[in-house]
Amino acid sequence: MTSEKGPRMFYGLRGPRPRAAYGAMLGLVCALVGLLGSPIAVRALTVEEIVSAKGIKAWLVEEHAVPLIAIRFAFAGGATQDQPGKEGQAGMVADLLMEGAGDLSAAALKEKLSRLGVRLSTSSSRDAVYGGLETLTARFGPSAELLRLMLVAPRFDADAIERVRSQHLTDLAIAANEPSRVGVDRWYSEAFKGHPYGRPVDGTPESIARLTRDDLKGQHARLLARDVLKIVIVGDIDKRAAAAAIDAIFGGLPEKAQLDRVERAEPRSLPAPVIVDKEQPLATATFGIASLPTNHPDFPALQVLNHVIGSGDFDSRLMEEVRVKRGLAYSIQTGLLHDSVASLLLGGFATKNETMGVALAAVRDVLATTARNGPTPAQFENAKRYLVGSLLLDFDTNAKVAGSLLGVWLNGEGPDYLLTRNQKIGAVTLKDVKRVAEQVLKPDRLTVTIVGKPKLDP
Amino acid sequence: MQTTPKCGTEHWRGVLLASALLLLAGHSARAEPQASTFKLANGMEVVVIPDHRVPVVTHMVWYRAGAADDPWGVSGIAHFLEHLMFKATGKIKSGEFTRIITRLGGRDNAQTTHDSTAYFQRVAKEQLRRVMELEADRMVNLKLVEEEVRTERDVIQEERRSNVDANPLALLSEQMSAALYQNHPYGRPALGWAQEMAKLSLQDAATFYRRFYAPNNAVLVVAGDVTADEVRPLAQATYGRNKAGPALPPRARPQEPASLAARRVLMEDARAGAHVLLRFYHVPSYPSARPGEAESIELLAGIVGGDDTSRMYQRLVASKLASTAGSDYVANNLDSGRLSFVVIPSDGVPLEKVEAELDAILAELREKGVTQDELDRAKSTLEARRVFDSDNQVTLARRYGEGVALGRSIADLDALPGRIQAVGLDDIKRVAAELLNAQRSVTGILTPPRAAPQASKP
Repeated sequence: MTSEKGPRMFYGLRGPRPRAAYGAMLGLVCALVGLLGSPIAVRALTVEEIVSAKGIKAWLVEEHAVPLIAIRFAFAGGATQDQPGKEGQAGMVADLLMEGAGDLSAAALKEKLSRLGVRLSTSSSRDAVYGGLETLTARFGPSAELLRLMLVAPRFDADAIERVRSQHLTDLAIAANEPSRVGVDRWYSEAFKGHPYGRPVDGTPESIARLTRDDLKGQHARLLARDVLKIVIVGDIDKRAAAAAIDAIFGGLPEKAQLDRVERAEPRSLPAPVIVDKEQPLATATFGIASLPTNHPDFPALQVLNHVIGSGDFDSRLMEEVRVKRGLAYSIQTGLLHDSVASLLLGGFATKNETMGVALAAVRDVLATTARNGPTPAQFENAKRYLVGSLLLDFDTNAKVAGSLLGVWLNGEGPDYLLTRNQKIGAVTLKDVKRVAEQVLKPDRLTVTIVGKPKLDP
Repeated sequence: MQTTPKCGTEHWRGVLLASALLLLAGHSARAEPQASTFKLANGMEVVVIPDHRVPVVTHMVWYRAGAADDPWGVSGIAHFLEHLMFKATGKIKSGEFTRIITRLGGRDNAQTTHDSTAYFQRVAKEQLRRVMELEADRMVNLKLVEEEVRTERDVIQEERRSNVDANPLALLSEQMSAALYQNHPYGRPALGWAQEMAKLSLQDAATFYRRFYAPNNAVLVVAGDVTADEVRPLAQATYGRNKAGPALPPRARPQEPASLAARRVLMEDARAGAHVLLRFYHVPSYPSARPGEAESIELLAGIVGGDDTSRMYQRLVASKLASTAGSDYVANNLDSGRLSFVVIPSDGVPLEKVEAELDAILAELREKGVTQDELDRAKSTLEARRVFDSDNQVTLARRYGEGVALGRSIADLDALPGRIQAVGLDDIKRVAAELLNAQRSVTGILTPPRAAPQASKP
């Protein structure tokens, strides 16, 4: 979800195994990784909730082993707040935060950032505008000051707007030819037709062309405010300094955002796959179904279930049936998505056009069989063991800790997540997973999009 | 475990920087990891990198064998064997390796580059011994079965289709590499050419395995919550039991002839969403360069196209000729490196125009070099990146694993910051003048087919 401007260009040097490959391809699955794990002994990580003098709340992890400080933050709202006909607004606003602020032109701002060697980035999604700062402790003061300026006083210079607009138009043209992006976008537009989630999150060439400086400035003023802000700070900083930094950086923002209410949504289910006709060596499928929200008592059981069917490991049921037994796809994976107003189980894979029908039938069959019989006791135990054991793998660098914790918070969990997660997973029984499987895995409710020229009769 | 020898004047500045950071941070934060190394009786080298923040370890084995060691006509065999290493051994069943790691709450992965093949696992520290047993087992006990080789060959072909054939830029990059290297096997894709991959056999894999997979041709890296004293007995009890293979000859691959002609590769593809200009230069790498040369190239690459203050950004993106412009330096290959530049012109701007601008930028560098201010900023960026890297266990394990596998010493790897500091304006000018030379280059152009309309609407 970060706004990477460089294209992915240098291929062929590496053959990553599937977990990395498909995660990156879906983009969305990566964002989940922080959620899928659970802690073992959380020796070194203590998450504290702190409140600044101005009343801004944040989560803090003090970690002094490396002289670095990482901050991740999110303003809830995002592209769901784009005005009709002005889709892509939030994405343009996020990028323009980097393009000049206060007295500093874009070039002057970037030169200061470069001199400090600070890593600063902004991005957006359907649900939020995000930002991140990573800096050497010794350069934290001036880095934080630049971040403050960017958030409070972005310039929206005409020149910068045109530059960013042109980049977004090029991105859209490239995305239009990336089967996974086309497939996921189409999935959302079909499953959430008529709901803000169904609108193109990155806009369209027409809507991007239409955006004026006032549209962008106005949206900045509506979206970036303290009441929708979540902040995580990790690293070489103590509580007092962190609280002071929060006020210094975010204290000047308006108190309240002006957001339109977005109703909770269930994805529609379509009887037949939606085909996006494109000449490609492979057909790319995206499939999804409604799942459970994170605060649902059966959510831990759903995590176990998701691992059993779609972890992307060789013994996950989908990999076993589609790759290991049939050699139809390089990887196939599912993830649980918890956006602010929808909960999904979403997956994807690519296979030859002529084998799409067979592969899709295998997917439906896995879901149906699992719904009927649940996982085997061995699969159930293995999934739990993995979830319990693997959490800290996502909590090993300051930046990853900050990003993972922000994800935890956005998903509605508390700062005690690291302490309670394992108990919750540990308490899940095979019966729980069977119940959830029956409730969630309904192959006939699946909405599927396919990019390519697939042959659908198995 | 601070057994790394540190000497020489170059390192002095790095130490000074680290101490300055310590003082400013005001407590016991450390800036640089302390890797140490020892050798087992069978010739296997071991690197240990302690990081005690969370009770997790990263375990890697690097083999000194990669795609550039594929016999002629058998391209892709190193990578195919990497896949087959997850099949049965005398002790475990096919697919069991990953299953066991997952059950332990760990993750595993593998990668094949032109010069090395590496296997990674990340697990809770208590599981380290088990992981070492498993990895030591498959180093010598792999049992290949015809049926499994056939299915897995489908998988690697699928991998090629989804990662390369589906992406016109990846295809162009592959064609350009084949033109850049006229004699060296770096010109062949690491995944292999499709028609050769289709014929890879069990016999090919077994021959490659017997030739290269042995403790005396491998490097073990353990990073994380361990000490060298803990790793040594574990390594002896696992890898130490494997017999050394026959000594391998030095890795002398066919070398490149003198570059005499600029090459152009023109590719038309209906899936090209945007026009793209790609330029490769054949340059030295860290392992192959004269002292200080690769450091100069790395700084030069940053100054030309590293971030939003770079010359390419200023003259191509800020001026709205292009939506994307940047550089990349493949710096760690054994026999040579590649300096590359990419430009995606803004809609309506002809490729000729951005190519002329890129050539003007490079010509100016050859004639006048860079400014002191640019050089200082590029050094500061690399210094900061070094500290960011020390936050990441996996990045560190890769640095030392790949470095030692390619014959570099830990002292050499640790002395890099000092050598970067020592680069002067003349050094940059010299490498620019010598290397940014059309005869050493391949220019790649990607466009949609001339006759067809440009990118389709999303």
